[in-house]
Amino acid sequence: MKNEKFLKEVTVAITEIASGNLSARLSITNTEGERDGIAAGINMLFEELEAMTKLQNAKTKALMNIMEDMEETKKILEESEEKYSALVESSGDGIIVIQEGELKFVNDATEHILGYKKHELIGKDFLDFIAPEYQGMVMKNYMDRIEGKEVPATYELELSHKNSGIMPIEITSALIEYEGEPASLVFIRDITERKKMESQMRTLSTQKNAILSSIPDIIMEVDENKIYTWSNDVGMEFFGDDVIGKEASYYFFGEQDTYDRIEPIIQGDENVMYIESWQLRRDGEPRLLAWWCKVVKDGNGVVTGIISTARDITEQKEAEKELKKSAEFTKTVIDNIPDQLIILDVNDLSIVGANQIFLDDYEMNINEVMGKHCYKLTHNLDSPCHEPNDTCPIHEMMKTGKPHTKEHVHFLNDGNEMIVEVSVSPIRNEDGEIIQAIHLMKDITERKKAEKELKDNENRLHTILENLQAGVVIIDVEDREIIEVNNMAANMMGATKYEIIGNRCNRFMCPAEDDMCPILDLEHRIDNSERVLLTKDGHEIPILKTVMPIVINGRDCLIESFVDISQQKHTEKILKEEKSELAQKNEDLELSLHNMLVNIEKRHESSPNDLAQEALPDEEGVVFLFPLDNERNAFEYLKRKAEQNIPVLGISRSPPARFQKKLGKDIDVVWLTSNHEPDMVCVAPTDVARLSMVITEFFKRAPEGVILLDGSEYIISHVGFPRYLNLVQFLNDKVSMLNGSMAVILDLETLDAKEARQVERECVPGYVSGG
Amino acid sequence: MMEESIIELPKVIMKRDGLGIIHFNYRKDVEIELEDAIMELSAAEKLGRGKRCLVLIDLTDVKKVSKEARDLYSGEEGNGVIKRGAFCVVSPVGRMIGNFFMGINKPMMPVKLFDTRGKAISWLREFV
Repeated sequence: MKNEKFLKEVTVAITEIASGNLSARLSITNTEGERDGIAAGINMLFEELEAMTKLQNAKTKALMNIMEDMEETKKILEESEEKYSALVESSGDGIIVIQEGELKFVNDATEHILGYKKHELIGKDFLDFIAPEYQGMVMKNYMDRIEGKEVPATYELELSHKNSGIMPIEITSALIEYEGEPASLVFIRDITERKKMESQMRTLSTQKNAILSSIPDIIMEVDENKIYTWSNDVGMEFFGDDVIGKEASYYFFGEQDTYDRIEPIIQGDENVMYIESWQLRRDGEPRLLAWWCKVVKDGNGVVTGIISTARDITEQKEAEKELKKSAEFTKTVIDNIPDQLIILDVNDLSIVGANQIFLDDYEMNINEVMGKHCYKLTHNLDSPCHEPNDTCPIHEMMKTGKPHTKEHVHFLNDGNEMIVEVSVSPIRNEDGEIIQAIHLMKDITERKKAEKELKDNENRLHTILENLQAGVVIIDVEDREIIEVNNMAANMMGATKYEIIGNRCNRFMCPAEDDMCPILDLEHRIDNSERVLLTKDGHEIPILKTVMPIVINGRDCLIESFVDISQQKHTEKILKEEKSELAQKNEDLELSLHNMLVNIEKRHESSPNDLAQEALPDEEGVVFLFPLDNERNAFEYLKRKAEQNIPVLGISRSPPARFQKKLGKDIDVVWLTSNHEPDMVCVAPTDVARLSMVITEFFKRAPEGVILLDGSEYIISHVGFPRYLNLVQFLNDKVSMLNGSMAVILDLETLDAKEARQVERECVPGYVSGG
Repeated sequence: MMEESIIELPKVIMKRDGLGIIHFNYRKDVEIELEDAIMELSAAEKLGRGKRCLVLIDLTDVKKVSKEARDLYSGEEGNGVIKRGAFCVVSPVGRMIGNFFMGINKPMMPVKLFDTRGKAISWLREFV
C-alpha cells in the first residue's frame, strides 16, 4: 500500500516535471526509510534537471541575443560598407588597392587624378604609372613594408597623367587584407596646386627675404624670454652673426629700463611701443637705436614673443642736439637783436614767432602774441595796412619777392607812438614759395627826432648865418670856388650872393695869386688874423679872419668867418698914441719910487737895530692887527720905530701930508688913491698887485723895516674881502721870513664874524711895548 | 586567547577533536540550504585554525542538501577549507545524498563514504 502511494507520488512528480514544472519534489518523511532515500535521490535529480534546464534556457536566450546582435552588426556593417564605399568613391583623394603590383581597386577620384578610366587601370602594373626616377624608391618602400621595416607612410613622387604628362603626387600607403590576401591600400593626392602654392610661397619667401634685406632697418624677433630668435641681414650685420640665441640684454649698453618698458607688451599689449635704447654694435661701439616693438601671439592669443624694428639714430640724435643748439642759438640771436622782430604767416599776416624785445615792448608773453594779426597789434587796425596811411611792406614784398623796407608809425600798448623802420624779408619753403616773412622793426623815433632837430638846426643856423654880424664864406677846396656866402659877407663885398657864388676865392677873399693861397698852398694858419677882403669894385677892407677846414656833404671845404675891423684899426691908432703917453708917466712913477726907496735905505743904514729889538723883543716877523679904536697905538708904534731909526713906510688912504701930520713925523707914505699925482707914490686901491710889489720892494731893501697899512676898508670896498684877505696872507708870509713887521689898522665892525676871524687868524693883536 | 573547539550553528554542532578532525553533527531531519553551507564552511575554517581541515560529516539525520549547498561544498570554496572529507551515511537518505554528491557534484577534495563513524575516523586519521 505504501509502495503504491509512493509510486503514485513519484508518477505525479515526474508528470509535473514533464509538463514543465521543474520545481516539483517528492516528500521525505524521515531519513530512515528506503523510499525516503529514493525520494531524496529523485528530488536531487529533479534539482539537477531544473538547474540544467534553467542553464539551457539561459544559454538559449544568450544565443538568441547573440544572434540578434549579429543581425544588428550585420546591418551596421552593411550600412558602414555603404558609407565606406560612398566615402571611398566621394573622396577627393584617389584610393587604390594594389596586390602583387597590380591595381585591384581604384576609386572615381583616381580616374580624375590620373585621367584614366577605371578599366584602363584595373589589372595594370602600378609601376607603369610611376615616373621612372621614382620607381626604385616605391619598390624599396613596398618591400621594406612587407618585411615589416619602418617605412614613411607618406611621401611624394610623380605619376604619369594620361593627358598632361608627369604630375606631382603625395601617396600614403598601408598594408591591408584584400579579398583574403595581403595588399597595399594607397591614397593618392594630387599636390599640383600645393606644389604651385609652395612654389609661390617660396617665391613669396624669396620676395619677403629680398624685401627684408632691402629694408635698411634692423628687424629682430625675441621670444617671450627675450631671447633673439630671428634677425634680418641688417640685424645680423649690426649685432653679429651669432645674435640668434642670445638674450636682448646681452647687447645693452649702460643701465636702462628697457625690460620694464616692454613688460606691457610681454603681458599682451598690442600697441606698438617706441623705445630708444643704447646697444652695443658688433664692433663694440655703443649706438643709440630707436625701436618699434609689437607683440607676437599664436593662434590662441598666447604671447610668443616680440618683433621689433630698429634704426640707428645716433647721428640723428647728435644732429637733433646740434639743431636744438642751433635753434637755441638762433633764438638767442633773435632775442638779442636790439630791434623788435616777429615772424609772420604771409597768408593772413598772423604772428607765428616774436623776439623778446617785441614781447617786452608790447608787454605781452609769446602765447598772447601767437596768432594775432600784426596790423591789430602794431596799428590797432582790423585789416592790413593800406593807403593813404602806412602801406603794408609784406604786400610789396609779395609783389617783388624781395626784401622791402618801409617807415611805419606803430602804437604800443601804452598808447605811445613809435616810428619804426620796418624791414621784411621772405622765408620760402622747399618749392621756393614764400610762406613766412621776417618782420624787423627798428625803432627810429629818436633818429627821426634827431633828423627833425637837425633840419631845425639847419634852418636856425641858416637864419643865424644870414643874420650874423660877421661875414661867412664857404669855399670848395678842390676847385677853390665860393659855394656859400651869407648876407653880411655879401654886403661887405658889395655884391649879391648870385654875383659872388661860383667865383674863385681870390676874387673876393684875398688878393693872392692863383696857386699862392696862403692856406691851401702856403699852409698858413689863419686864426683871428688880420687880412683884407676885396670888394666887388676892388677896394680892400681890413678884416679879422678865421679859416677852418670843414667837410660838407663829403667835400673838403674851408669856412672863412671875418669881421670888418676898419673902425677897430682907427681906434687902435688912437690908443697907440695914448699908450705912448702912459708909458712916459709910468717911467716917471718908477723913478719916484726908486728915489723913495733909496732914501729909506739910507736911513736904515744910519740907525742901530738893537733898539728895535729891545723895544719889541717878540714883534718880529708878524702882522699886528690894530682895531680902529686902537688906531692911535698903531701910529704910536710906527712913530717909535721911526724914532729908533728903523726904516718905516706908511700906506694910507689919507694923502701923505695928512698921514705925516697925524704921525708927527715926516716918513715915506704910499697913497692909496686912483689919482696920479706927480712926485707922489700913488697906488690904485684895485691894483693889489702893485701894492704887493711896493711892499716886497720895501722889505727887500729893509728886511727889519716896519709898514703901517691904514686904509684896509678902502681896499676891501674895491676888491672885496677875499682879495684883501689874500693880501694880508701875503703880508704875513712875507714878514714871517724877515725881521720886519707890519701893522694893519682894520675896523672889524665892517666885517662879519667869519671874515673877522679869518683876518685875526693871520695876525697878532696889536700893542705898543712899554706904551 | 582560548581557541575554539566547538561551534554550534542552528542546524549543526561542529566540534574539533584531539586529532584536529572536525565533526559535523547535524540536528534531526535538517535541510541544508546554501546559507547553512556558507556558515558551516566559515565555522570549519575557524575550527581548522588556519589550515585546511579533515572533516567528518555525519549525514544520518539530514533530510536534504540543496544543489547550491552541494555545489558550494564541492567547488573552490569547499576545497579551500576542507582538506579531506569522510561522509558517514547510515540512513538511506544520507546515503543517497552522499552518493549523489560524489557522483554528480564531483567534489574537488578527496571524499569517501562510510557507514560507521569509526571507519570514517580511521580513514581520516591516516591523514592527520
